[in-house]
Amino acid sequence: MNNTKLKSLMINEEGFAFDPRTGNTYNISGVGLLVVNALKAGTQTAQVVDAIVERYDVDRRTADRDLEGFLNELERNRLIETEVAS
Amino acid sequence: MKRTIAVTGLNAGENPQPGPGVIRSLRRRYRDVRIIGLAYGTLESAIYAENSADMIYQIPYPSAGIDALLERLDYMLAREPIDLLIPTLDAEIQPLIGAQAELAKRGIEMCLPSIEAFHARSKERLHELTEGTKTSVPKSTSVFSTAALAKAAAGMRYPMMVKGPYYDARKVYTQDELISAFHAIMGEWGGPVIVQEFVSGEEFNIAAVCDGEGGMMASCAIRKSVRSEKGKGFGGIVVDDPELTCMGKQLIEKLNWNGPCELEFIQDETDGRYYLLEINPRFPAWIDFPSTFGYNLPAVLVDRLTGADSPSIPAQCPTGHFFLRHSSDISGRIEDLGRLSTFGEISLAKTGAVQ
Repeated sequence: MNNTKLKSLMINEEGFAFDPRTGNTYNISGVGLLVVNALKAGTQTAQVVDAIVERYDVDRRTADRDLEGFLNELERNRLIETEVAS
Repeated sequence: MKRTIAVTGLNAGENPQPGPGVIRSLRRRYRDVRIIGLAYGTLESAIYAENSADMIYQIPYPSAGIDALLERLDYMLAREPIDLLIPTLDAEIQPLIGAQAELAKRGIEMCLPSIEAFHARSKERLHELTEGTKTSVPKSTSVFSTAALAKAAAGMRYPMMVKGPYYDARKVYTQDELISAFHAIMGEWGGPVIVQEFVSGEEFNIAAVCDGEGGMMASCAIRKSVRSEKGKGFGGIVVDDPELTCMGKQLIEKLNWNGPCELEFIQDETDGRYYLLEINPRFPAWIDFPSTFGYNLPAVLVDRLTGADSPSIPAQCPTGHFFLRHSSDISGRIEDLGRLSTFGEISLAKTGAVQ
């Protein structure tokens, strides 16, 4: 996953985010904020799932599915790029 | 030293002109500047606005020819000096490029592109301009006749854009609308009419002051966050996308552009690719927005023309600000309107520092 664009996202403590490349703004909820901050820091997705499970008391399968949905959302907004296997 | 600066394009109505924003920016920087507003009509809104021009002179339309303008300028110069002229309307630029020496003889300086650069950025030559650069242009054809129009449209899908050489852009969905738009634009602005593939997506603009040697002295990129029905930017937010910046720099370098300009791009919503829509040879109407937080492009231009030391600002406008256009009503006194209509000039002198 290429998170270069995500790294430029500016986020305040309340989860209001600004993408300086596009001028788009987002309101990111608690769990989303955890995910975005972790990905910006270069954390691998498996470790992000660990963090969700630990922090929000959900089973691993649910956390995994929700993370996948959120990553799709980030990709639709061109904040991450999933590398296509050749 | 007190400067007198003349500015054109004073109407801030539905299709706002850049003059009022340029004047506000100048007043933010220069406390003692004298502003002369050059108006074509008596109902250009900034004539009557607070903190606008100190003096208004009506001038002949560009279609009257440069001699008519020079004659009018000589009348003004017999009353007061004019140090600088900042034209803000597309149709004024070409005749003024040709008249630079005449104006310089009269002590009036301008900062304009070369005639080659001016033509190279015309809508019908954008494909040629972008060859060998990272910038793409939507598929487009310039036409002068309905026969050529039909041929051009046959190779494109609806909706498509129909544009005038200087102004006007209409989205058409059917052949009837296409023909109607062609005749309307030919009738109002003349040819060529540009038929262009429609790209759906967000619009991005870069306003810049360029040094005439291939560089941008200062630039501000925005995404239009609010667009009027006519596609005018009624809201915008400063952006910093290295890809967009790179394209802008490449084009300016290729043109060796001198003075102010505005590059308009659209980002295809399907693949995120930027397309160049046009390059305007003047400041945009939103030019006072970056000046409100100290990124004053008209002041960069004036300091360059006068050789004054410009406060140091980064080459690119910092992000973190947005604007929304806020329409309000300007009131005027009927005596002022009457005086301007009768004598072609009026001193309003309601100036003061813009807060």
